[in-house]
Amino acid sequence: MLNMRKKGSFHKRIEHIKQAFGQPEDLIFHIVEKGSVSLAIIYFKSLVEQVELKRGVVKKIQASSEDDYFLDEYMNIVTTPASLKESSDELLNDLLEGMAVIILSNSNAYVICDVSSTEGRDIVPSETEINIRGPHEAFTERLDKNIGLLRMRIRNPNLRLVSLQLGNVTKTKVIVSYIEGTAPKEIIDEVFTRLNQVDINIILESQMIEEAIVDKQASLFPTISNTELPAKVASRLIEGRVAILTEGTPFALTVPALFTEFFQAPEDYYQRWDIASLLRLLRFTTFIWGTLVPGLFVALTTYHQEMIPSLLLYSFAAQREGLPYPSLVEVLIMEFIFEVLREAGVRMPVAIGSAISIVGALVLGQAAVQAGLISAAVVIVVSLTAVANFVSPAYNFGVTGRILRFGFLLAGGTLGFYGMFFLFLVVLIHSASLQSFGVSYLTPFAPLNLRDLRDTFVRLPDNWVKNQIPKGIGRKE
Amino acid sequence: MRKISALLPLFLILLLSGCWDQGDISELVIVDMIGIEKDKNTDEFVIYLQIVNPTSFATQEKRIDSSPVYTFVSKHKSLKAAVDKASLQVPRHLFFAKTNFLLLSSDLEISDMEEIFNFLDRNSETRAPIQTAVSLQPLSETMFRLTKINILPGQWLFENLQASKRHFSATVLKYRVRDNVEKYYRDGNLLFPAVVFLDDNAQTTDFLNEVDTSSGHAQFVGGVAYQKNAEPVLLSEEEMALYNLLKNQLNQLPLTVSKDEEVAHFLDINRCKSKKKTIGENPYRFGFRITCKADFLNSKVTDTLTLKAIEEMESEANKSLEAKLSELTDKLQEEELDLLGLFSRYPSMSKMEKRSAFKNATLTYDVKITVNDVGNIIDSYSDEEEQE
Repeated sequence: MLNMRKKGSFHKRIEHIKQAFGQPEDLIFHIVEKGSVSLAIIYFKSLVEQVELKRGVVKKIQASSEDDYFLDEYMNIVTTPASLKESSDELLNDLLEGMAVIILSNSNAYVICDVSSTEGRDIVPSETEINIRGPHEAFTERLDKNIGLLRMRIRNPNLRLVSLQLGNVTKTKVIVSYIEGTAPKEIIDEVFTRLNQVDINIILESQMIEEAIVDKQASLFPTISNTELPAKVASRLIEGRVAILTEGTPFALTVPALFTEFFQAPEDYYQRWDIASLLRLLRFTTFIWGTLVPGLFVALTTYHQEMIPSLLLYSFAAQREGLPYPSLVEVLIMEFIFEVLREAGVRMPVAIGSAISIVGALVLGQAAVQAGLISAAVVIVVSLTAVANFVSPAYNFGVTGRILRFGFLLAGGTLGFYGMFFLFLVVLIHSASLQSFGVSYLTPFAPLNLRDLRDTFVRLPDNWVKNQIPKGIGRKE
Repeated sequence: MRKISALLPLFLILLLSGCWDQGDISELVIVDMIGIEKDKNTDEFVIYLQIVNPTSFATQEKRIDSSPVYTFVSKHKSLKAAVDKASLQVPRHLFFAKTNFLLLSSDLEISDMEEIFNFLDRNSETRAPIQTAVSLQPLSETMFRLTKINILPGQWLFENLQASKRHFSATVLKYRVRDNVEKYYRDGNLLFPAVVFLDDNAQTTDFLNEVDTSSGHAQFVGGVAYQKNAEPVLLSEEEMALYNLLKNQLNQLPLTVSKDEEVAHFLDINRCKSKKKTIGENPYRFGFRITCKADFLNSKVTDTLTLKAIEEMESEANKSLEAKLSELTDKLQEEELDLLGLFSRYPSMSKMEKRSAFKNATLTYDVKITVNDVGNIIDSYSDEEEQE
């Protein structure tokens, strides 16, 4: 880092800063002569709140008398939050964080004034996690706003927000949040250990951190959960989890993430427990449906026809009469078409997005069946599966279901029920072996914790088991 | 090494199933009904395979001009070879897992049955329940008939048999081929329901006097029993019901109790329990204690129904049912046909000894029928008035 103390003169220091940044256009040096002392206010035009800077710093300094001031006196002249830094080591970093830096020709220290811009997206409802009842606010890309949203929900002195800087190049600010006394110490320590070991250049989204700190990269199952709902993060903090908020993305990470967590929607807790339980069961069922049904269909029609009820078998036989491809190929074609349409639907501009649904409905629905390429039953199976996949409240877990679906499809198509059952065992063994920050992934099923089962397949009312933090989270394996 | 041993189960599974086992639905011909008879001249089995034509009825655009089934005929000394020969006519895999019905010719012998059930029992696809019946008409006529309503004949017969059992004689039981094999080896005989196919062209309703039906084209009329070195024995519908009563499988049985020819009470016998007891050996004596409930259905008697009259009715019904059971016993003993398997628990006896022992055995019946539902027509005070 720079060592300006040795470089001596005021102008040399300015020149050095200019050169360090490559003389960018938006780096402003505002030089004011105050008696015998030269003073420079340095800032990035693009990173500061200009009105605040002018009103609270520039005008105040200009309006001050011509007397010689010591550097620490400028902290009282400016009206913005300011602090004195003795060493110049972090000067460049402070500038990048949107601070205005004041240097004086008679001192090697400097003053930072917090005039960083709070411009950015307003707090708007989440577009990725929709709920009908309950708070709609979502996190934004600004960390300070996100912290505010969190503090608003947990007004408790034990809420800890520890700041870190990650990314060798991007120097992204990351906040680790937990509730002291609630979150198990082992998990907190584990989070800090892993974050401190992160050695990547670029962090633009929390996924990059997730990938760097995840327990097992070669797994389909997510062991770190993400959400852009502050209410969800707050409830998880209260349950003893740890949240990681990242500057520049509305998606916060929470750990440990357990299998059952991906079936829980915030709305479950904002409506009657019986309705919530029914919906919870529905989500589990649709996950199994979405993962297994195409494979089951292919296995049944290719290997185990005797298991299909007679009339349904005749119907399938009538539909398959004269079709060119075997069931497996038919389903693969349909799944491929559907995945293409889905991806196109996500990436396409909204204005022409409706075209996709029309083409999709035509291609998937009528045309393919009428053209004799695929049977109507396959269209029903694939479309129902696709719809079932959207029921998952967590997008990343939905993707897991999608990938598993193809696995089961190929297993069912090549080895029948034997293959599917074998793959099921492999998936079960794998998921039972997973851990998320020291907690077993299948908690509370394995290891079994009867008390925590109240909030798994169903959600029992809170007053039945009052104010109890899930025991499983605190269990160190 | 650990990884290889972990993968071993996967390789083992490859041996069990795989792409080579696959058979797409479109490569199957689904056999709905099998008919088997014997050509007496050439001593060959004649197998009729009625296969489903799904496009004629299982699609929304039904092709009503085409038949819901096609029937293929094949002949050979061995059933397996006859089926193999039949598969030459159909360039697809003959799929037996959905076979509903096995229709046997009445002139088959029990040795032929052994071959039939052996063949079906060995075929891994025919383990599902298959109802079996004997056609009292030649199969060359019946196997080519279609139902009036556009459904599969085999399926129609299957459902009709289930329904007729539910409404008349026996409780609904699903039979597997294996059950017939077991009965044959246990009792030395086989019993199947008999079916007649009605004449589609009948212009009058005269046939309704013989077989009580008003819809469909086939009717179950009692049963046919087979045993070695003997002619098949035809049982009437009532005799089948009495057989089911003794086997504890009776659902319901209508019974007419008449004081004289002009007046009669009609009862519905149901909820029966039959207990068999061996009273003595050499000579063999068996006693059946039968308790039944009965519903009073109707009466041609004009007198007021009193408690006393009901007691008399019960007494009459007991006698009537005992007489019917004795008649059935006489018939079976004359034919040496131990349908009830009374001697199946004497393994030391030869089949011939069992038959003769059954013929000479004494069977007694003690029937107790309780009328427990008379509707609202009883006048319980009439007896008292008479006494006054």
